[in-house]
Amino acid sequence: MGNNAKDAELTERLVLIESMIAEGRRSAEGWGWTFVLWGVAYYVAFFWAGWGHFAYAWPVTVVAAGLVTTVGLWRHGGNRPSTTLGRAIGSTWCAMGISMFILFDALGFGGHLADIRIFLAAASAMLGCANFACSVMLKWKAEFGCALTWWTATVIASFGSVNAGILAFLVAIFLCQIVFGIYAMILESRWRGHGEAANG
Amino acid sequence: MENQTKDTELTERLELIESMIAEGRRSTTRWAWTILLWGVAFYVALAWSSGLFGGPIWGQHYMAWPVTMVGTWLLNWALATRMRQSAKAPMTTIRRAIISIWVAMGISMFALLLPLGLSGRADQQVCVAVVMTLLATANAASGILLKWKAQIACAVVWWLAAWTSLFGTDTQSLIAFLVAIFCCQIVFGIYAMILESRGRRQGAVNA
Repeated sequence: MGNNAKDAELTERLVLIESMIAEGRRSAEGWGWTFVLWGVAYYVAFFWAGWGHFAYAWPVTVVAAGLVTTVGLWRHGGNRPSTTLGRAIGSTWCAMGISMFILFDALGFGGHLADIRIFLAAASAMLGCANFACSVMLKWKAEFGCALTWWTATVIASFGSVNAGILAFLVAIFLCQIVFGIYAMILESRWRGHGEAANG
Repeated sequence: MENQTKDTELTERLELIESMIAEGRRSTTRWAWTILLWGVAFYVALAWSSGLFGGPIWGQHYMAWPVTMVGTWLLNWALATRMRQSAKAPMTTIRRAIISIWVAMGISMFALLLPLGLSGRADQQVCVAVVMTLLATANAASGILLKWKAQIACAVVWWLAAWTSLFGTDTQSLIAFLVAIFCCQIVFGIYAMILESRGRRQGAVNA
């Protein structure tokens, strides 16, 4: 009897965790636009810095994208209740954003970016880190694939030529920000469609 | 009437989240020894790579960091497995999140620093800054999630040290790294272990 009760409690707990993960994934799909936004921002900053030779291209673009994201988050998620999983994902991306801003500003202004491959490798590794953490939290294979893609870009940038590093970085942005972001947006729109159909 | 029910439900939900955060923090303090272990490992790797012991026969420039890090990881894994088997604590959402953050940080560090080190493209200041930034990220994410000010302070210390490393000289970079390890691994690790032991004692008294 005691064992039965324990089993039932464990099953209940597992069902609760699974439903929290499913809810977290649905909520994460709602943020697909931020992936696309940042993918476009990386492209803009990259080509602006490369062709325009503008030293402040990255800080200006990143700050602008950060402001747009903040406004979007405020408008999009202001009324949503906070969940533990949502907090975990939010804290991961928030910490990663601050770290990237501090590291790359210091690398650039400290004169350590003579070899662009260091920047490409570090940026890819850090984005892989955040994607991996979120994919494990959400049990989301597509995001896990993004983490692997970013880490592959890290290794290519570390060992390969400058052109190979740049190419790997641009391909990773396309796959893990633009394609993955659009995929998440499609999933979210499907969920919303199902919800509206269910509500009548 | 409906509003009251909604308020009660929201309060219940908030209470549940708060209790989960408190449980997550308690669970983190149980793993405080890993923070201390890695702090000591960093010191050993630094001492070995700078030639304080071992000498040239031990290939200090190439072997010190990979050997120490892999050795520590194996030790950590073995001890953690034993601890998990004896504790049999259930997996909670916060615990999953914290583990995933630290595992992600570890793999990223390995994926970045091993190739950069082998290809010889990054200098000491850059490598140290990257290590410190990744440690800051994991501490900040865990600190925000657990609402733990001491851990958020550790993240700030790591970020400041990373900044110092990139704007200072090689020596200043090394000093910043040593100080940050002391504050954020040794002191914070011991502090978390003290908290855990206090919590255990209180638990025993209440039982």
